[in-house]
Amino acid sequence: MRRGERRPPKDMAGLFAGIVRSVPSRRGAGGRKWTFASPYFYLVPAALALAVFVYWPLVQTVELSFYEWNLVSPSRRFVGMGNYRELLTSQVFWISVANTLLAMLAMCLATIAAPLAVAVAALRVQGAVRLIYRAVIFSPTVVSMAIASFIWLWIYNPMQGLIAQLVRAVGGQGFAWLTDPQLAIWAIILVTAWKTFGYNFVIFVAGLLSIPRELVEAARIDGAGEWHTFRHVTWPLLTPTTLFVVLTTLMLAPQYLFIPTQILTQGGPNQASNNLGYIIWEQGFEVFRVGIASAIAVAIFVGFLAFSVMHFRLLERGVHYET
Amino acid sequence: MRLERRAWAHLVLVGVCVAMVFPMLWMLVTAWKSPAEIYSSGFRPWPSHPTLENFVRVVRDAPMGRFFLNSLVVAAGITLARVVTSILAAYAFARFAFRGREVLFYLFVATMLVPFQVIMIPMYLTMTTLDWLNTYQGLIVPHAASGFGVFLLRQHFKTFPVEFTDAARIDGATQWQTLWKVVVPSNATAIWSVAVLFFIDAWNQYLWPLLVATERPMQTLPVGIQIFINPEGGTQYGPLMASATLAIVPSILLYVFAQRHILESAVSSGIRG
Repeated sequence: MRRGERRPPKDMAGLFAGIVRSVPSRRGAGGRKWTFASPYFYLVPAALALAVFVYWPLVQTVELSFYEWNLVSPSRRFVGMGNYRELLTSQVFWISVANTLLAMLAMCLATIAAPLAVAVAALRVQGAVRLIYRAVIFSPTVVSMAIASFIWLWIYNPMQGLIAQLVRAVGGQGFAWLTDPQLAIWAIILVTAWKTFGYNFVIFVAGLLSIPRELVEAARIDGAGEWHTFRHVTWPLLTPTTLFVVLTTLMLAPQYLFIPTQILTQGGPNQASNNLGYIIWEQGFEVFRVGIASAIAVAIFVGFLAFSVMHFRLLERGVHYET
Repeated sequence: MRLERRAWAHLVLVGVCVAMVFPMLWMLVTAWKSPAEIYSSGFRPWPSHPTLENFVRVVRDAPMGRFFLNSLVVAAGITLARVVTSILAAYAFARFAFRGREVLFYLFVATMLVPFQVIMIPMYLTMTTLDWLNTYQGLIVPHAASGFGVFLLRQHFKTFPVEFTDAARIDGATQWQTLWKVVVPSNATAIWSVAVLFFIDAWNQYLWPLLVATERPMQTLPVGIQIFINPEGGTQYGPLMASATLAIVPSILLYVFAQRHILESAVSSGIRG
């Protein structure tokens, strides 16, 4: 159909599309001969939602970070860089940064190195059994993090919880991770690791499967041992997968910490388990310091932007495999 | 030697499987125990007298039907909205050439990179301004679009052969009809995969409903069942585990039946819990 030719619209949507088109549109929009409706018509619903509920709040977060405000008062006080200056000396903030870095480091071991090792083991197993293992190991991924945290709250219970019972059964004394300043953050990390292990495992299995078998077999025929084959053939070829998993984990780890922290410890005892996933909530909705909370949000966003951009580049290049 | 290696692999895998499933099993075991047994000392791996008592108390003491309904409405609403907005935008990005396409596409997809916590305070303020607290629209509309959905569907639409859409066009179909009658049905598998992922993600949501649904009748399951948690130490673990069991059932069923979809789209993307 030629551009500009009018046809009776076939339905309401067609009518609407026709209206949109009849707005004098930019010449050359399309280049194809079948420019019927404006592409912008298709973009509007998603664009509207993303603009109003992602970009606009992002701008507002930056704005709020220059004010002192308690969330409810009609007036707020401009403090310029005051909130950011306060962050530099805020003990809670630096505890949170330290705990988040600790969690990221622990997650590298628990949800990158360990799943890789298990994925290598899974490749030794052939057929339907492997699919069953994979399905079971992935299963915590579909469980709500909140529900998972409720379950672990019960397991961690210092009196009748499973771990406490087991510790007592072997003659140990009590168990109170959640109220121990040293251990509370580890209780949170464990839940997060349990919940995210399976996803990374599945990615690694897919990555390993995508490595051409001939290359591995060739190395074996040349007399390379198991470890050498892994080190010099499998590992280099797995690099894109590994990079993807590392970046995903590092990028999402702080966000994943929020729910277990909120349910298990509320950042306690005495801020010992606070972290960057939880602190914005705490400052904003528990102690009502919106300015500080927003300044932290901006700091986190800027801090993780580098990870995010690298992650996106990888995603775009199409580091993904069929299962 | 080879056999021994494979035995080791099985041992490791079985161990990991047990670690993954065990917490969920423990939830089930607790849900079927009587209060007396739950709070007695000593390790009891199995309920000695399985009882429905906790489930009865859950249904009696909490508006479980209402929580279920809310979770279902919110998850279905978010899924439907995200699928539709993603299909439309992905189609525009895949099949139209227009000025600003690249920039717009990056702006859409970049929304994936914004952590929710970073924008939640202004989002909450928007809800109060609109008077959307404790409403379904407040729970659904802010999640109506997904940069990830647009990204993934565009990949599929782009690889869909142009000949098919051109043929439809020659037969007189409008652009709009071509999308819904040719492109969407042909990419049904990909769209279902995304939809399943969206549904699980929405069903599991916690942070946003916690902020928006402050009144009991509007709460979704993960938020609502906290009725059984008492920070002062009076948490009722029996009912908590029973209600957690009920809340998990839909996710697990969906996982069992749509496993291939879920694993595939998880691998090609990233599930966001």
